Amino acid sequence: MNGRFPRIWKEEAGVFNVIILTCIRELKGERTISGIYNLLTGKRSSQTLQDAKGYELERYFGIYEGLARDEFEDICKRMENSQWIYLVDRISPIITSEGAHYLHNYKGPSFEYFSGMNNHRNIREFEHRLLLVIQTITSIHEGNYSFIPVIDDSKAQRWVKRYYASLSRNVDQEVKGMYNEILDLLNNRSHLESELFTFRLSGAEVIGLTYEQLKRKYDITKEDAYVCIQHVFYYLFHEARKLPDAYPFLFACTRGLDVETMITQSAKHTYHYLELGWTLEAIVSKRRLKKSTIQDHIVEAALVIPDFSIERFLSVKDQQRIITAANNMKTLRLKQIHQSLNGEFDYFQIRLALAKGKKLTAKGKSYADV
Amino acid sequence: MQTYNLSFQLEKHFGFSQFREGQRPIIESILSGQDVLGILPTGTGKSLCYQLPAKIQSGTTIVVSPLISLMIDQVKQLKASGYKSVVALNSFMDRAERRKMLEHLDQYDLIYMSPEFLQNDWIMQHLTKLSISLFVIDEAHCISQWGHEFRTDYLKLHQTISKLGEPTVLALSATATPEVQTDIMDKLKRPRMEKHIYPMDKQNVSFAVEHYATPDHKIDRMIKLLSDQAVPTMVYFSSRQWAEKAAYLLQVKLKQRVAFYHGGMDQMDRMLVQQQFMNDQLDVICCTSAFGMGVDKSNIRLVIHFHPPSQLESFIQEVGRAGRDGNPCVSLVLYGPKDHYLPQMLIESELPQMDLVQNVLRYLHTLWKNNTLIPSNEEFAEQLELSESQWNFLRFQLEEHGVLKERTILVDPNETFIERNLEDLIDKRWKYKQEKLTEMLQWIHHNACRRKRLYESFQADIREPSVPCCDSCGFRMDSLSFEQNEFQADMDNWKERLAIIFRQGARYETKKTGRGY
Repeated sequence: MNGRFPRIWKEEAGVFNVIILTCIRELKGERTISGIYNLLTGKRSSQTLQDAKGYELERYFGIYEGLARDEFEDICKRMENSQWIYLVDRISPIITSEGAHYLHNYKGPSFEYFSGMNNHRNIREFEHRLLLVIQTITSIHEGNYSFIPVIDDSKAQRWVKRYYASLSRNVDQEVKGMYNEILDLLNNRSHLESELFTFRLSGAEVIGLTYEQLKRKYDITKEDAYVCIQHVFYYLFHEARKLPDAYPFLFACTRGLDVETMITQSAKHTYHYLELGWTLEAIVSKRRLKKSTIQDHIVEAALVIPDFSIERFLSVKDQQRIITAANNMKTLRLKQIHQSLNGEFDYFQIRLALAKGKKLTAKGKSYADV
Repeated sequence: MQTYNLSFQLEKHFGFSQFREGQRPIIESILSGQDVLGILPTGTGKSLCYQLPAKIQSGTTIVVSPLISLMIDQVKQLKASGYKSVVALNSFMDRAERRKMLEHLDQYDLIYMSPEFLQNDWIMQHLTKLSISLFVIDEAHCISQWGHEFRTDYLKLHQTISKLGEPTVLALSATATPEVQTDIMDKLKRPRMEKHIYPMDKQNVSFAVEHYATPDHKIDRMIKLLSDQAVPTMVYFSSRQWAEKAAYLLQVKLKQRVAFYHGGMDQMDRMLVQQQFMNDQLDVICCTSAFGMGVDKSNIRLVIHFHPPSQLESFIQEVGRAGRDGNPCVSLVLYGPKDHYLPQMLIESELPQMDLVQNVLRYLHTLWKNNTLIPSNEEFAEQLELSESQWNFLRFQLEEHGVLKERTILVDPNETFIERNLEDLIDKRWKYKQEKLTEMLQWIHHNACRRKRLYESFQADIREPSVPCCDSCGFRMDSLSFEQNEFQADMDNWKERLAIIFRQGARYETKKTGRGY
């Protein structure tokens, strides 16, 4: 880069590799590359939701919605070529000792603030609000009322209008306040994250950079640039919620963004009939869907609705037996569990027990549960 | 007839004290209820010709525009300038958003939409409830099958106009030869349109063509040229891959800030690149024809064509983006021996070959016998391996021949003359497009005055240029000496950048700096 950037950011990057490797490590070769892709892009299928919960990878759920499949596959290919991972049956990755070594020696930014399962949609909204409100208020501060918004999202545009109308301090103080909050919080992030995040912002007289441009400027991958910036949004979001008085502006940007219920629309219908006491068969014929689809919905409900009872499908005692079997074998593979219990339970029951069981044992882990 | 103080209205709604050439007479005609065909070169403020009447007339103005991105850009710019009662109905909106807008349509002075939207019954129901005072067709050459962006839904506009109660019609274009002009009035079924044709020869541009054996040589040439001439530059490519590749190669070798832009990028990235360029944060844009429409940057000095466009009309429009401030600018075409292949392939992908047409007719025949509906557009195109524009073309012709109405087959295609007619038509359009390409290539190989050759089919007289004319008339690229841009090196760290975004910290307490990087 013409010697303009003496610092070599590349050595500090690799965040996205590390996230993928972490997923691979936790999944223990029991899931495919596609499964990981679905997790990162936040696919709302009961299988993906179940994986996220079961393997305690909720925090990474949906943190990279726009990830292109071929790019993701290329990254996995490169990892395989570097012998960080090994593909079982050509599709299910497991981490090698080289890969574990890479994970261990990683020196880039930490990423403990991700809470994708609960917040990935909130963060998207938060990001839009923040980018737009900064451009808007700094432009108005300059006396420029005719600028072209960098964010197209009309929901965010309406939010910014309301926010501007409700300002209690004058624009000068507001701009100072915004600046100080962001400066203060970025001071506690890694240098790379602060660089990437700041250059993504647009203000009155400068327009933010695209990921392509950030990639070139810092000589890192586009994915690393994306993940680092996303992580900063998660970080700002959680810090603002923790200390609303210290960060009133950022806190205002999080207003109304509450933990989402992660249930799909279709599963919601099924859940509704269950609540009314319908049997599985009755729902199948009513909704004209396959039995396996309705079963998926029930598993999904078990995963995401805290007080959903599955006893009509499986007694508490049987739930315990399945969980114990899974724990003993340290696996979530349905086939193995099915065999070890001599075929006594079908796959649906096992999935149900695991979905519920994981909720019972899940530990509160930093921000993933916020 | 109502009279308006137009200068006062212009000042009041747009803050301009003077009309630009052509605007006032067109607006006066429109306001008196006269249909107008306006041919005004790019960058002369065509859109004001309907934006101002929309503001001062009581009814609603509808603007049919071919590109969603262009519509959205225009609406954004209008809103940014304080013109709020405007909306673009487009397929990016979700259903709920669209419904909300439709319910409040009467609150807008100006409604932009694509011709495809006007074919939607639900939308037409809402529109017919309004009182439409002006119906505008932007980029009206799209109506003409001899125009360069032939779009089949444009051909149905005359029906729409009568359904809307025959409002005043304004057709606007930046490039339309006399044959295209006649065809536009023909297709709109408005033979008595008042013609306002303004010369399109650009007096402040110098033309040059250079020949290179390979793309690598072209890249070397650009590096050499741009190292000496650090001015706002656009480079046009006919493929996305080349735009990206060239941007990388230039980035490595030049001190200028270079970026690429094409239709395959996501919405936000496109917006950022466009605004960086407008904001002088970028110096060189490597782009496809997707960039430019609606980009109003006044100080572009150099437009380079790395690949030739498929016809002179596109070339004229693209060159028209340079030098809008009236200062000297240059058009440079870099031509290679194989450069005619790409436009050739493009033409092939636009028009169906006869064997494809026969496949389609056979398939429709079978469906007709089984009395079934045809599949959706995407499915149909995929099943028969047609490109989108091939299927659009065929579908329109099938509808015109009364074979098809939406998804229903009305008559057995075998019982009509459609196959023979299509063969004629495709043959004609094929030849036409080939001729257009040949015209472009002939211009590139032309030995006499390029300016004269370029504009002669559009206007009788060519004005004297205010700059050296062209390489045939003695203009030399090497003699170029633009006033150089100053580059601000991109040295800031994040704290400095953050301070600039919020205009905080030491540098803003002592002095106000200009725009940076």
